Amino acid sequence: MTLAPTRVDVGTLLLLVALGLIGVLAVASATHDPGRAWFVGAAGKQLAFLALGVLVYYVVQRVDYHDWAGAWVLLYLGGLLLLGALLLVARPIAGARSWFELGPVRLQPSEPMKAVVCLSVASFLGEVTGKLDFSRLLKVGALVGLPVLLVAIQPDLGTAITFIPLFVAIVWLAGIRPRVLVSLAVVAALAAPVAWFVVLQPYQKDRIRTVFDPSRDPSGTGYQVIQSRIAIGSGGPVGKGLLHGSQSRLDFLPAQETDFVLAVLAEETGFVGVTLVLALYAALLLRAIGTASVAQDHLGMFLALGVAALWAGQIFINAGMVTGVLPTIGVPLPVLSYGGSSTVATFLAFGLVGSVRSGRFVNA
Amino acid sequence: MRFDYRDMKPYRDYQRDRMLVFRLGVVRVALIVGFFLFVAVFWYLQIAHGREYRRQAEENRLRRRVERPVRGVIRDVVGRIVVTNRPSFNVYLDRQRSGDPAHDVLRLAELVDVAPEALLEQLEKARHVPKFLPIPLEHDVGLETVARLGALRPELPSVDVVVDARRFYPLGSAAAHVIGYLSEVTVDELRRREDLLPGDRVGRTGVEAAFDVDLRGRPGLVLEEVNARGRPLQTVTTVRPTHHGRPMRLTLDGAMQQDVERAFGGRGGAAVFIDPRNGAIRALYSGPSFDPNIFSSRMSRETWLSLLEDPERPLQNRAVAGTYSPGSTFKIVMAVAALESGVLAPGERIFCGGAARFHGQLRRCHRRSGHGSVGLEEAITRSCNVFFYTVGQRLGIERIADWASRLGLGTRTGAPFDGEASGLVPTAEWKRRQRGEPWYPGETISVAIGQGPVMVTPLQMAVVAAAIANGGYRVSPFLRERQSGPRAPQRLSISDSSLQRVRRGMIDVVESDRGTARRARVRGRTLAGKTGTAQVVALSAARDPGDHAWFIGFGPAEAPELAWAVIVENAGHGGAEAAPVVQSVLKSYFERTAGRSETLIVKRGGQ
Repeated sequence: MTLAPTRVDVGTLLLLVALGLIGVLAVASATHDPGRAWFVGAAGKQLAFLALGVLVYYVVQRVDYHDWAGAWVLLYLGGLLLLGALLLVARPIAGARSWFELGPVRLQPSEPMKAVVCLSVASFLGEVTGKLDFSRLLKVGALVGLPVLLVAIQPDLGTAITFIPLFVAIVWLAGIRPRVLVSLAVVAALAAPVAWFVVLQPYQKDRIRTVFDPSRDPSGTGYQVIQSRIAIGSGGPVGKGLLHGSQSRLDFLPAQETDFVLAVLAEETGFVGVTLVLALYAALLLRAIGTASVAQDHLGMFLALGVAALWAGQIFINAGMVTGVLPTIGVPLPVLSYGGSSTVATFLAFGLVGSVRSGRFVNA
Repeated sequence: MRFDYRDMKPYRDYQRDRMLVFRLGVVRVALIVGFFLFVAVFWYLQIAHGREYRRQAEENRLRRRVERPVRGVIRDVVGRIVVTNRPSFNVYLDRQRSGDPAHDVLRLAELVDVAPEALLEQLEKARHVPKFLPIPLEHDVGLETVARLGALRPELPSVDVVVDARRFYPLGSAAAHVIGYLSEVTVDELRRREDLLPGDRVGRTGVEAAFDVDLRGRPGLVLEEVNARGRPLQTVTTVRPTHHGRPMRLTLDGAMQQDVERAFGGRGGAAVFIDPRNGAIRALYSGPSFDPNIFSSRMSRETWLSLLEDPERPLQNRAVAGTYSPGSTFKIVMAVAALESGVLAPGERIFCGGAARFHGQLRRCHRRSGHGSVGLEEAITRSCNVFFYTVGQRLGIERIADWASRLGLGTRTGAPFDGEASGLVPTAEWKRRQRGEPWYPGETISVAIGQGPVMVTPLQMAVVAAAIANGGYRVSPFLRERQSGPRAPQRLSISDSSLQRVRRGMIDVVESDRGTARRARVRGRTLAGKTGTAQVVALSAARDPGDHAWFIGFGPAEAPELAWAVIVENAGHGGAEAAPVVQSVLKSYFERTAGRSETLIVKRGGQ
């Protein structure tokens, strides 16, 4: 194993920690109980997850990403194994077999799997020159598709969907022959109705329809969207102040400390706060793309872009969900939403990006 | 074999590299555009439409809640509670929290097993009522229903069980008419009167109606914060404070009220006992009675109809709305008129031979053998008709009417009862106007013994008795303590000597062996009175309903504390039937007050 140069990509780390701390505040506000101290419960745990994330980031980025890439087959197969095992042994929580339960700790393997898939696809394409032909496209599709399939039948459609931006971005970067693109479009067009009528559950279709008309079912799926929009909109320019968001404090908002944490933030810190968070995310992702463009090799480029694309997808899907411009898909907002697996997996993935950045002057 | 990328010979395809940098650039631009799109979305929600969403958030957060006032408790003259409140569980619909009220109502009907039509009717009734006012669906439900609704709350968040105060009348039927009852506001009243809310109960009769506004109080309005499940968390502001109903003290004597009912034993009629010194009503009973508590709970339509259509008319307050022929009790009015008009010579006696001819008509006395030569006092005591025929002939109808009116007949007393009758004091003018015929002198003779068209209410006769008792003042009966009647007692300018003579005659009615009301005697007390028998015209020969028995009077004669008028319907002679009622009521009254140093004097406020 080779250690990467000792320079730590401090910029990425600072952005992640800044977002993470904002998240801790938002989670604290969303779960605030007037009778209890501030940082016990979810906010305290989230703070611990952040600390763990920083550690993971440091370790991951200290190791040369080529070493990680060298182990991709092992990591990938191990990930698939865990996802497969979930389906066999996991107890459904909220209807999905997504978590291993080790005492009080819950682990969600699909979260670190995101980083592993980024690494695997990058490793595979790193060797490839020229545009993707049909067989290579199929291989990339299989690399992404296998874990997606295993996640989708948990069922956790939200997580499964976040892999799509990764696939699209990677294919875009690698380049694709026009013929292949056309046939892909045809397959997608054929698959869409099948998906609508066969794959999607009725509640999922409901969520999609609700995007176009939130008042369709104001007490069911539409209710969450309407309440979330009310929370965001009522925040106005500067928000109502931490702990003073009535929509979250009075439980009108669903899943406030997890999937809808952005709505809590929007209500309490207003347009200013949301813009700041979006800017921090933009800086984080643009820095990753910057890393891709200065990477010393294709592996680093694909790895950094893959992580950027997958996480951009999560952020946009989450923001789209809380603002009601996209269907309600249960996707957490990276490092802001309460949740250990998601938070640590984000530090892990950006640790890989950091490693690419640190190694950019080597062998150039 | 491990494969290390760094071992590869750096091979750079510069054209492809440029291509990759371009493609990365596209991704970078797409990302930036994406972020700006979301900034735009948040701008749209928070800046462009922020005010609108803020209003919606406030609507979510705040709920206007009406706080109903608790109706005032009513006590009698000794402080005993005669009307109080009991908790009652009522089901309300809060349309603020209902997406589809009709749906919720139908679901409720299904779950608690009530007729959906009735609930929909309640909903329809409240169509013009502001939405923040909860509307009543079902009254006085049992604890089992309360429990069931509690379990259904997640499904029907708009349905509330509210503990309201309902009236409880400890005296029951003994004071039903004087206390009165409540019933729910009608649609019409809701539209007309702004101070009433859906589900409010309004006083309909008696004290409950007369002092309704004071007793009811004013509802408050609070703005409270609720969470997503509709649970109130805190009061944000009190828009309008709640004014609870004022407690009230009546001049009524609850114990006496019960004694009267017991003495009536279910017979029809009425009894009024007032304090002759000021007009305070101490007991006012009408029979047959009903239990007013049935109006406080769910009353079936059948119960209501049976009360309404009962030929005995239990809902009517005969003491103030019942008009009767006064019979011989009218002789008191005649005696005062005769003495004050000077139609009797000092010490004049009139011979009664059992009958006499007046205006060509033979008029009988009730005693066939006649009373012989009688003076005024004895004529009262023995209720001699011939004496009063003679007096009536000398007075003429106008002077009779004048004195009857002065004593309070023919006009409402102004006591706080709706539907009070004015009775009738006939005059020649009245007959001309009413019937288009002249007054016949023979009619005056009938009026002289309280027959003919003259009609009185029991309350009016109690006022007449009080005037004799209190030295010639016409009192205005009242019910609320520390409040005088609508008019101050009016001095009638009856001379003391006249009053003394009338009183002497009335005392002998009870106390002498020749009196007609010996059965009213109470040991140790001197009472004064006058019996009467109001003839009832039989509608068919087969069913003679029987005459009404009157007894009016006052006592104790030397210092009167009570004046009364009692009528027992279809009972026969006043001395036999009405006098014992007074006897039993007074006996227990004197027993109750014997220990006390001072009698229950209700002070008059104002002057």
